[in-house]
Amino acid sequence: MKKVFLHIFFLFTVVLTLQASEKKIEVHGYISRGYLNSSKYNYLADNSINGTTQFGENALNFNTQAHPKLHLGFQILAKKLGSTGKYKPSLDWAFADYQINKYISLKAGQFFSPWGLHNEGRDIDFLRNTIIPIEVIYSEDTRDISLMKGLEIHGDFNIGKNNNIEYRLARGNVNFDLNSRFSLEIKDSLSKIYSKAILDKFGQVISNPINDISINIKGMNTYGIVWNTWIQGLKLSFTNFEPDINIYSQVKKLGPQYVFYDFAKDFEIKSLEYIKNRWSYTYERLTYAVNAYTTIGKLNLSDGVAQYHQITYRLNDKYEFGLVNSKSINKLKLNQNRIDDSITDIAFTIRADLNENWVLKTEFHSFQGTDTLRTTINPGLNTTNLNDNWHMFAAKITYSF
Amino acid sequence: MKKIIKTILLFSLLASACFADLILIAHKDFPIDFISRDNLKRIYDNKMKIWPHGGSVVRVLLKRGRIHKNFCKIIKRSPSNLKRFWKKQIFTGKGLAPKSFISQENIVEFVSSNRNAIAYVDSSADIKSVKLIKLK
Repeated sequence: MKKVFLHIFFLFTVVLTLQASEKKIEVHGYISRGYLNSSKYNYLADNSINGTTQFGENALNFNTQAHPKLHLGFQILAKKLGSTGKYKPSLDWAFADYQINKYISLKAGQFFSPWGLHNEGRDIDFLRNTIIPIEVIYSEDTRDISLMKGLEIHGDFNIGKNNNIEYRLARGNVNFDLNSRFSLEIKDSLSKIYSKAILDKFGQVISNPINDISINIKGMNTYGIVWNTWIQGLKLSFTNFEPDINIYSQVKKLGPQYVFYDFAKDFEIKSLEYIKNRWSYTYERLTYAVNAYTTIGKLNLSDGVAQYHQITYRLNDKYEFGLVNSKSINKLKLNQNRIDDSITDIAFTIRADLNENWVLKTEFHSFQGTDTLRTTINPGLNTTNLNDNWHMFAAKITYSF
Repeated sequence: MKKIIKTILLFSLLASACFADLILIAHKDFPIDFISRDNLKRIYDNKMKIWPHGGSVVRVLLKRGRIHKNFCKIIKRSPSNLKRFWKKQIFTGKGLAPKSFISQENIVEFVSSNRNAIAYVDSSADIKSVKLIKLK
């Protein structure tokens, strides 16, 4: 916390210095509050079954063009989703972006890594039609690793007439909180593995065997390209994301343990977006496979494929409607008659732009399956009842300036 | 064949008539005389950030109205799409917000005092204090 405030203090000092030098500084922000109510299972927030308002964000950002070639900016974000976040302010993105020439720019600092079409601004619901970023691709579990600290080369160039290529190439690492959802899910999954190992070796049942854990992402290599095609409104994109995850833990009975995550298939996202008049269509497909190398052997953790189709229609300046069909499959669980081998979500969304500053949204989701649901907030998660369909309602209001 | 050519010509005339009431303006000392449609789109897509002669591009928008809708057609975006695009640029730290005004008089006044600004107004607007930029 002290470190965060030191960062923020330093950045505010930079802002004041620039202001003194008469550089124009823009300040923007937003406040957003939401409501989630799900049947049967907790979705994203701990007590969404009973309806929860523990879902919101506050953000403030500062941007300046310090020089025609140099853009500086940072954002402070405080968010809450169930028991995570607690509206604790943290430094979100903060970077310097220098344009070397017409085709190449260099970005340094903390920024959103290339990940599909909508990773940047994934917390900001007024930038999209849905309230919740489409979970099978932009999972809250990966929110903590969606920002990286490092360097990025990016830019764009034309290929002939009406064809434009945007590219990003980034290298860096990630710092994240051990109480974050990402960390909790890793800890939960390793606890189950070590509990089984202890039972096999010593015949003892220990449900929480991990005393101490340290999760490190030493490096991340990511890249992304977007092809804005000659067909007006049609863009195609490809992104690749490979984190280097190492975990050290102290485990009861087993002692110190080291785990290395090996991505047999990197995270890869193929995307298509087509906007025509009042209509938009988006398709994104994510594939990945990860194995864990541990002192008790190699474990296949996941072999997943996820995709969605989204159609939106803007009726007028005020209203926009959307329909989303998304699906995630864990191939390792297929053909075992398990309801958690996949999840299918059909969602209907309504967005109302009340005025320049206020946006109100509602959405209804109908789910089949429990694949992406988290056991950390659903201890009694059903894995066998194959007809276990469920649904969720969400609403959110946002003020931005 | 003649019928097809006539139809194409008619559509072209209609299309140019639609945009004919919109003119691009810049500061009196702005060294560029014309801008291509492609570059205009690049400017408002936040891809062209620096003028060839140096200086940050300062984009100006009308908040609403027929002229704004016509301008959006030129840069191949809908007004709502343009608004959302720029919100994304601002909230992800990619650029400064375009200056937006309700009245054309305010736009002309702003452009007349900003050497790096580019804007559009109705062709009937009083543009004595600024420079007319041709759209290629």
